[in-house]
Amino acid sequence: MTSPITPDQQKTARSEVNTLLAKIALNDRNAFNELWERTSAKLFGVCLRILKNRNEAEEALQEVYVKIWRKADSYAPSNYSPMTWLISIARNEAIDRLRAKKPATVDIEEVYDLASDAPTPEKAAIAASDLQQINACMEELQPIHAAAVQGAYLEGYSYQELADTYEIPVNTMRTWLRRSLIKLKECLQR
Amino acid sequence: MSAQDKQPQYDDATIAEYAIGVLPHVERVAFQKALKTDQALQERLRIWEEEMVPQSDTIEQIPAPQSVFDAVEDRLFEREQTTQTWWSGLKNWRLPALTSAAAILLLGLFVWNDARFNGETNNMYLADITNQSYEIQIVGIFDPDTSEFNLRRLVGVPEQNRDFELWLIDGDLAPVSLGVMPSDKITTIVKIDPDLSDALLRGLLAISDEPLGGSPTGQPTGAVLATGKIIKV
Repeated sequence: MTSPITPDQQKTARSEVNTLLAKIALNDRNAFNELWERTSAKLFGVCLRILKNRNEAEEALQEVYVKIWRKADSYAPSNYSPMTWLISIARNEAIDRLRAKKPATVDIEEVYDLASDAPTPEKAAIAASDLQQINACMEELQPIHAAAVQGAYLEGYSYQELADTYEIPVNTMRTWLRRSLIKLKECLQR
Repeated sequence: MSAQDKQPQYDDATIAEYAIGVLPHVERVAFQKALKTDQALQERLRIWEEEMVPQSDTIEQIPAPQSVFDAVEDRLFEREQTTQTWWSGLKNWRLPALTSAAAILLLGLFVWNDARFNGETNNMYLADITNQSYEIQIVGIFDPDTSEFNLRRLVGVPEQNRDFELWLIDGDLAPVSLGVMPSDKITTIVKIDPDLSDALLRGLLAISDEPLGGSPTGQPTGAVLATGKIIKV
């Protein structure tokens, strides 16, 4: 379980990671080492959650930090918050590997525990305000649609896997999910 | 002319599908390509990623092995750390294992696609040149009778105005260019100098990123993108 983080702690952490990334862009290897210390457990968690295989997650993580070093100079001019930038690199690496590995196969066991990952009061309680907000918006969706969005985001499920889980055609699943995403954004921007 | 004119317009829902990772693979690859040159799209994607990222707070942190970071540092810094030549580091790279099943598959690809290999040749050598993430994969078949090394690009294309160049690294000797792979062709046939045949069979093959037409210096100037070895079938 992730421990609760206050908004103040979050802000401090954010500016520290910001500084590290700026230094890395200037080839500061000590800063790179510190970034690894501070962020690798999170990014490893992200890769592992999607790839569900330790060796593959380690390989992905290696690639993620190589990319962080090489792309650090493109971080500063962007408007990304630092953790979003890092997590996006990790998620994309993991998902690219997942899709390259199994274009359309479904692992039944993996799909089955999707239902248990629907938002729970416990999960909402651990979060800072951002998570509370997105969870509130998730609750405006039909529970099954919210679970599909989370299954895709957190577990890297493909449309085929989601469609099989909910026993609906892939096209229907896609229509649902696209609509849900737009609704979610409207809610988040209110 | 603007590069964006040629690219598909992405609606918000599609950008969101990419952001949460569910965009089907073929569309995903096309989207990533568009993303490289379209700053407006990058910004729209960023907004989605920021919206979705709080969900990551529920992901448990899991300590990552130090060996992963060591491997990262080896890959990024080995060249500056030591006085060794850059290619000596390559020998420590983990070569993607070419299993016999993969070898048969590769052979099948060639036999299927290329009538010249119709099973009459006895000595057949295959090469699988790739990186760990398989972003680039080039397979080759070498026929010692004709000294022809027939290469086929399966995955990956050079960046714009760049070319892939193939190198042979034999022990501690300086890399020898085997040729540039034209970016507009899937297959390239490289004639191997008979003096290099033995080195080809024992050495390491590497693909580097080079200016159009190949390295101006005769030695690799860009990043090594993929490596591989030749095996006998």
